[in-house]
Amino acid sequence: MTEKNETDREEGREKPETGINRRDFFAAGAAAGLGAAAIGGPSAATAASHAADNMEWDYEVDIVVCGAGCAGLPAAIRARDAGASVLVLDQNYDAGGRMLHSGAFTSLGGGDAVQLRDMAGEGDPDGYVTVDPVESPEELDDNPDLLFTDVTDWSIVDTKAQSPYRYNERENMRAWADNTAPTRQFLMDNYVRFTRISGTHGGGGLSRARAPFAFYKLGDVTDIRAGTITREDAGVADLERTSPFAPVQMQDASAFASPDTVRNGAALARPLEFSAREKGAKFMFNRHFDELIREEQFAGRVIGVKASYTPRIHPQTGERLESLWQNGNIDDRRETIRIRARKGVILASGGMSGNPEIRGMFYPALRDPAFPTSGSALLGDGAQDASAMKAAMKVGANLSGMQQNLSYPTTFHIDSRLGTRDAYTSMMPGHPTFDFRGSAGIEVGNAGFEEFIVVNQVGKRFFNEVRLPQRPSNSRYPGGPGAGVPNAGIDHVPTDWRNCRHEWVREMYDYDHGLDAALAINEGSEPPHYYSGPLWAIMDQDAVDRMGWEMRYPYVNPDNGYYFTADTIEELARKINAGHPYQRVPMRHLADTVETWNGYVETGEDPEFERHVEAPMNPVATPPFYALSVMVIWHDSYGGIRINGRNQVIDLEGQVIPGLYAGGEAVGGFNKHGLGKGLVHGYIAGGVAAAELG
Amino acid sequence: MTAHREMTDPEPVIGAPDIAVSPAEGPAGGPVTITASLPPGAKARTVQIADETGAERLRFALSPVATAGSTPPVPPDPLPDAPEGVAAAAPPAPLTGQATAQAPATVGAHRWQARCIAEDGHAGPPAPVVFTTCAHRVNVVVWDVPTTVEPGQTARVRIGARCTAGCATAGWTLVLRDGDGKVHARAIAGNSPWRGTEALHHAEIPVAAGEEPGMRRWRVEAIAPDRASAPDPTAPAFDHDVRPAEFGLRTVDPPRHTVAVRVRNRRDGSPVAGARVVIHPYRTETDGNGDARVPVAPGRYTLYVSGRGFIPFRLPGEVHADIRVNVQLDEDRPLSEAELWG
Repeated sequence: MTEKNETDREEGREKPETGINRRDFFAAGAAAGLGAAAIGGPSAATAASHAADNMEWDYEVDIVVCGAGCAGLPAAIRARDAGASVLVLDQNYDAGGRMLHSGAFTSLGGGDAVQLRDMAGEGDPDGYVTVDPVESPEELDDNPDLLFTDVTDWSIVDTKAQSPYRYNERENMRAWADNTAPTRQFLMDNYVRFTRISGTHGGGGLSRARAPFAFYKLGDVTDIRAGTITREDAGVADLERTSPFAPVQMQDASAFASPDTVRNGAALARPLEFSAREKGAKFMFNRHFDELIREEQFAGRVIGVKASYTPRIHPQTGERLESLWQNGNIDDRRETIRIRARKGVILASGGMSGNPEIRGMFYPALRDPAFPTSGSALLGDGAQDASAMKAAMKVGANLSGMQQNLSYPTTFHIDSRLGTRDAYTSMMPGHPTFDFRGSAGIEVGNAGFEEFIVVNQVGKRFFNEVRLPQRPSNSRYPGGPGAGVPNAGIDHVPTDWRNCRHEWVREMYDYDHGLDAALAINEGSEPPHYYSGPLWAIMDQDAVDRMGWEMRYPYVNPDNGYYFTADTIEELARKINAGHPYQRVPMRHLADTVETWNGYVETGEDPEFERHVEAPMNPVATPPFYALSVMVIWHDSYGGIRINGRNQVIDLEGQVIPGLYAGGEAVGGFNKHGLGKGLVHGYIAGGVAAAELG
Repeated sequence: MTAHREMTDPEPVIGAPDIAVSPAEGPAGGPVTITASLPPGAKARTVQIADETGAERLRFALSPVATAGSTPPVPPDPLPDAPEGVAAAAPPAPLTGQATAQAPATVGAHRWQARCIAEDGHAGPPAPVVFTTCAHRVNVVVWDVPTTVEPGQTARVRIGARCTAGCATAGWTLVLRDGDGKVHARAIAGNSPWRGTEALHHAEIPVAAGEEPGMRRWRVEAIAPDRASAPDPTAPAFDHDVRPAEFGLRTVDPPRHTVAVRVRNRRDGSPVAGARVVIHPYRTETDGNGDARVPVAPGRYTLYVSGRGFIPFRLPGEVHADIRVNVQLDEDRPLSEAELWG
């Protein structure tokens, strides 16, 4: 109580006369009026007000959005557009979530505005898109029915022999296909600019091209309204410097827009964040959404949330990280708060890929915390931790498409960036979270795996190294045999049994199980979890010289536990054992493994893993020797909460849980990779929730 | 006597500390880190470490530590029946301290003792400090071994020795033996460590090709200099456990043909310099024009061309004349995050 009163004074607010900590910060913008008592209308709302009135709240608002990422930001904007008051919570110190480090390849379609623009050969109002369309008009000629057919196509089997579209929830797919075009327009109305369309994203269908990139024009100032960004903010002024604005250095977009344009998630996340703030959405960062508050555990409305304080403290300075922009932020540092949601709660806090216990339900080997989810440094330990799924299950929600967590071909993969824990996400010093990873890592590409051997936690090789980083393709436009379907481009035939003809699948199957060998039980695996442990690329000075890999900061860091160098192999093994947080057992076989390998190089044959069949072999002989971590990354989630076409959460009896919505990676039953899923979910959920209870 | 003293002495009894030793097994003469801890409320503030002879090796202070991060312990609520106005005392924190000693130069098990010392100098009962020292491992490393030599040639091979405990191996003798144990050459490790290493002292050693084609095995040992000839005869001498190295040197028939390889980037036809060209056991790299010439003996081979970010090229075949191979390499362009993921 004392702490609360102090907070009251600091923020200059009146203490509530009732003695109940109810506040309404958003009265001016709240269509529903002041406080719970003003919520009128149907009897459900009356009942809700009784239950909610008897509780103690720290904040009160129309809509609580849990997560400021690619589902949460559109939801917040849509709800504000409809006049609802909105509070967005995020466990991280800044907005954007995963969208911020994405490539902003935004697969929508169904006849969306960018498809129509490119079909007509037109540019954009700013004059930034001047290159000719990448795709022909026929390849862009789309409609919601074709999109719906594509994303529910039973006949598609990918090169890993999985069916990416067959198991999608049909009602959700219909709603998605009907809302992709409106969402594209909505994004463009909120400062997002799109390049030409080029292909389609994984899970976005095989019949038409549907995905452009979000981009900026390089300029003298960073101006969201004008669509310009400085070279410094884009991270292109200095190859070894990332900005707080864009955690991943932006990529050249000149092939898709015009000279001096750059693309990636910063061109999507920042405009949406900017617009949400401009429209009056409130943000509370460093605030992890923990639990839903429902009138009864399995009955009644969802009326609020509990959330806890999760500051991100810089590992060197000890200071709390602060968001890039501050307007609209509420800085509340109390340990736990309760927030009332008069109209609804939208769960947009991501999936379960950062939660080893939950992801272990699908692949027990990935219960090993040695392996992170992507963006682990950027997003922090609280990201992708299944918080939405767990909270929804506790109030009776059903789940959907859980098997789809395994059926996107590259959900988890071996990354070709070595020597850093956050191997999926590229980042250089200059972004506030760089020191959480300590090194940028070295991108060796697929071919780079020819230069070294890879060993497991006991120092043994386990697979043909050159095949470890190879990933199966996913089934998306323009298709063709490489994408698992017999026909490419507009020759693709949806729902044709020949797409999955037995003989065809045998012919196009293309999956190396190196990842699974990497995760296998080994001599160092101990009960109860039998963790397979970390993986190490072992190389010598000759390999480093051959490839010109720069073994220096910021690429590698001798102090972060993901890079070691030593005069001898034995010493290297000892250093790894002493210095890596997940190296649980001595690498007792490493010296013998290297000796054996060098013997294979002498004879020109690798009898264990037949590496000589496709690539030459190189000795690991010239000191000093190097060990760089090789990471298995669980990227994202496809199974999750069951929703209907209005993004309302459905319970175990098939009934809507009133007042509860979900979108993006928190939602299951939609094997769509990336942004298109979350953006449309946020668009739908924000609109529907704002309309609740009048 | 002791019992009598304990019964009559008004001072509180000082307990023995809990002791952790790291490493429990390490090199003779190496660092041994000893951590002592006492339960909350203990009166002692100092720990003394003595070796088997009773000589003091270490003395260090104990201080309270917060157990959860850097946050000081939060006082618990007063018990319901606590008298009003009496605040609960802050719970005492555990005491801990740490220091590093040099382990004995002798190899074997060691049992030192740790005692807590009270402010008045009163010493508590001893706790054992147990650890083992072992001989210093010395690894022999062999590199710059050519992949082929011809009869009559002599290869110059680089050999080094590294002590894991950091002893300088300059002046050590490196001995080359054949598969039968016969000594063929000796060399003395030099004063400067190999470039990029901390303490890998090395020497070049001549290795003769065999008279017949085939792989010949060699073994290299490292021998410490006599005590008298050591750079500092007064420094402690440690036992060293040398792990020898083995390597093979392949003698081949004199080449009679040349495989000329021209390597181009398929995308734009540009020469690929520095590409690896392997016709096992022969190997070389392309020059600045993307050309390489590999002299080979007649026979069946597989030509590989790879590296520098290109997808490996592979071509099996038989060489019975001079041949030219034009190779077009495909770039291994890693997909961007946008292309892979969006």
